[in-house]
Amino acid sequence: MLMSQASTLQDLLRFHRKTPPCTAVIFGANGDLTRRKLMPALYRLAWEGRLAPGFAIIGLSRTPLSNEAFRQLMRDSVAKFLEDSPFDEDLWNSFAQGLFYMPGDVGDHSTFQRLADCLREVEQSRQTGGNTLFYLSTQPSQYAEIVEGIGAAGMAKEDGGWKRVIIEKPFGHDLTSAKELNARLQKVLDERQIYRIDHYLGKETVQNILAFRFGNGIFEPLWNRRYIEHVQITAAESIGVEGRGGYYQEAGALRDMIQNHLLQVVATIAMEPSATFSPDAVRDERAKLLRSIHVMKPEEVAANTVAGQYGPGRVGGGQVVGFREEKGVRPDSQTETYAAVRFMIENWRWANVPFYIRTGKYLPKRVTEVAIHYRSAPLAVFRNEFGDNSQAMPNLLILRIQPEEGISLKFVSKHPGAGMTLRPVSMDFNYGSAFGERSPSAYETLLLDAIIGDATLYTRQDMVEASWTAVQPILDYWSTQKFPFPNYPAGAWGPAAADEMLSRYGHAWRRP
Amino acid sequence: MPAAQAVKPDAILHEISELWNNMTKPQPGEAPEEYSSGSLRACAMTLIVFINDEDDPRALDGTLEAVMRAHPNRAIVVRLKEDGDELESRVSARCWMPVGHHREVCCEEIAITASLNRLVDVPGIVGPLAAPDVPRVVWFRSPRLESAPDISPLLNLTDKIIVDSERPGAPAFADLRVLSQVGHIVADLAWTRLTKIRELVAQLLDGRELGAIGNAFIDFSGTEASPGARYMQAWFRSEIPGIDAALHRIDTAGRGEMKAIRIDPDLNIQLGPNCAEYEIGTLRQRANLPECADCDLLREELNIMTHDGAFERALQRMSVWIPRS
Ligand SMILES: NC(=O)c1ccc[n+]([C@@H]2O[C@H](COP(=O)([O-])OP(=O)(O)OC[C@H]3O[C@@H](n4cnc5c(N)ncnc54)[C@H](OP(=O)(O)O)[C@@H]3O)[C@@H](O)[C@H]2O)c1
Repeated sequence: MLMSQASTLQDLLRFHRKTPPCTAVIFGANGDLTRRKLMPALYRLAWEGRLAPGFAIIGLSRTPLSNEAFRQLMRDSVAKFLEDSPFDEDLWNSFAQGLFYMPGDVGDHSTFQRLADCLREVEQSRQTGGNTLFYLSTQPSQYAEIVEGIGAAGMAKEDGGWKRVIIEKPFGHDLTSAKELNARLQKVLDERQIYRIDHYLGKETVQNILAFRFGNGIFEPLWNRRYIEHVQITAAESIGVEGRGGYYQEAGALRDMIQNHLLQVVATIAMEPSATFSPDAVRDERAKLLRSIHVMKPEEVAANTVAGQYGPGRVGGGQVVGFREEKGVRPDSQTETYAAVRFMIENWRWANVPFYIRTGKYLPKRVTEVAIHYRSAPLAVFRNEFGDNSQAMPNLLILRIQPEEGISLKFVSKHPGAGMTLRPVSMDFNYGSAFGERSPSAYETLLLDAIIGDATLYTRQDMVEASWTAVQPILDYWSTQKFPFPNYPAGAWGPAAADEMLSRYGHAWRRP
Repeated sequence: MPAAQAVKPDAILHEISELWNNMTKPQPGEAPEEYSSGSLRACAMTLIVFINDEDDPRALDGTLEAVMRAHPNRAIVVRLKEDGDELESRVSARCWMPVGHHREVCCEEIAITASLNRLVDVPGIVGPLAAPDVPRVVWFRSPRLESAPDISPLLNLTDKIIVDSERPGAPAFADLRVLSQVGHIVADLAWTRLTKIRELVAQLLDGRELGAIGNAFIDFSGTEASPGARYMQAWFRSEIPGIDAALHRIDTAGRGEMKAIRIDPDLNIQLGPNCAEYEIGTLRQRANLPECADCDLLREELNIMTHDGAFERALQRMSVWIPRS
């Protein structure tokens, strides 16, 4: 086979990965997400020279707008919502030549036929080679219908260029609805064409954790049940539902954070090394890990989970209302704003090592971290001789994710001076991203990755279903309970039951 | 004139320890808490910079500070004086608070002032001062090194040598080539300045059969083409088989800078301040090409601690050396 000469000019040490030409079709182009996030991200990518010449965008929603009116609307949004970058009128004018709008209702079949015609025209005039990225920025209930419309109009066929579809979360609200959605999507699309957004762990963080685990010879041998006692994952928010009470009431902490985001963290921390670093090899291992999570029997749920809901309390020196007093929330709401779960992983590496996960609103500080608790030294030599019990403090490895990404290792050292007293000390490392460089917004990274075809940050059907499988028994059990909510005041570290759950197993939550 | 003092690396290292001890002592009443407000000492490399003593210290300070944020380093700044008999050192720390963080990050800086006649002592001082187990990079910014009798002990201290052939007093291409041939990792900021333009050209030619491209013209303004224009020509020659890449003077008004790149049959890139306008086929577009400050160029170079194949191939193609004055 002849090697293509086209790549010769690529300078892998210095250039960004090259992006193929394509047309992005945005469903819901008149909406909040498009205006606030997608369009500023695409403009910024153009500003950085990351988009191929001829890159085009077709916006679609019901409101009748001309191309010109759409360009003006997007110009105003980009100028308003562009963060930490200058708005350059000349560059915008050049970028806007590739912006088109098509009014249409996704509930109407003819919309998709018109879209196919419009797409063909744009492909020709902008020389995009038929590559198409569909972005579903509409309500989740419309996802399946849109994908079916794309399929019926022949736009999903990869006979001239690739076709990919980006879907915003949530992917179903339980295991059954997730399976149903996946089944409808897969009637039209191959799994590799579907990009489901789950960007809680930015790519840098995923890669940093993997680099830390698998790029260093000294940690991986200690990364198993022999040396690790238990693992704690905390994702604490210091704010409440911030006006999204109505939405949150239907979701709750387990669905909103644990089912998707925090189980992804568990998967990254606990997965086996993959044979290569390709997105699919890494996702295979993460999926395998998610499938190894013990699925609780109904009678196990009460002892291994805690639901909480904040009541009124004092936060940051001010009084705040409880969840049930928030706008849009029922006064007897049974939705949890805090969840703690003890997951067990059934494989040789992790048997009998509990993974404690907690997340909540209105906790004392915003912090996301993974704390690996190592087993104590086997013999407390210093306690015997010097009456010091610091050695009982086990080593801790903290992978800090927010607000400062980094790694800390806690160990004990001798207190300076006479006598043999020990004290815990910390060795800290902060990642480069903490050193003030501009990092691209999540949507810049996501869009670029989808255009390039890198699915590291996107989740696959098997991952989505495996994580729903792990939380479904908890959802089922909780739906039968009447919790004595509220059970923690805003500004506290969750309900007392969460502390009690850990103490039953001989552990205690770390105070981050 | 003060007599030259002895500068002892051990004493400087001791001063650095003292500096840190003082900086990390908890304030009265402050608990030695985990996320304490203390400073984080950061060092991922040693950056050794040779400059002229009379150079504007504020400009260099700004550059070093910006570089440190991306590549925390122990900076050793050697200020070279033409005359006298002087050798002195001073230790300080540069600290900053990353946006949204509550713990400042600090790097140490050692300033050494040496007169040219004491340059011979510098390697013996700088060597032990370099932080262990992390890369060492030297940035030669002082044209005075030209008159130094032998700089090979300095070169042997480092893992990477950075020069800027757009500055007066830079070594000739042939010298860089020799350094590269004997195994040194070398970089020229005149080449680094081309990254964005090269990337744009690569993007625009993506998918083309490169062997089928016959001609390229690099238009420049000035009596002689700048090192940047020459590197562009060399890059085409080294990467596009059989291309006839010519430098083309459009006027004598400038300092040799590139004004346009034209590639057969239909690509025309006009370079303006901070941007490029290009035509390819029926498309006419604008690209953003912000001017790079020294700190941007250094950041890019400090990311690369291996041999840079594309640069080394282009360097082998460079011939004429017209020094900047
Ligand atoms: N906003 C955010 O920051 C954010 C963040 C994360 C995830 N998300 C997710 O992203 C999606 C979009 O969110 P959003 O906040 O942008 O919602 P939105 O503001 O309600 O926008 C939805 C858009 O869809 C269009 N639309 C509605 N029905 C349509 C139909 N039948 N046919 C064609 N177009 C239709 C609407 O425009 P017309 O009225 O002109 O038709 C509207 O512009 C949701 O799934 C949300 O969960 C949003």
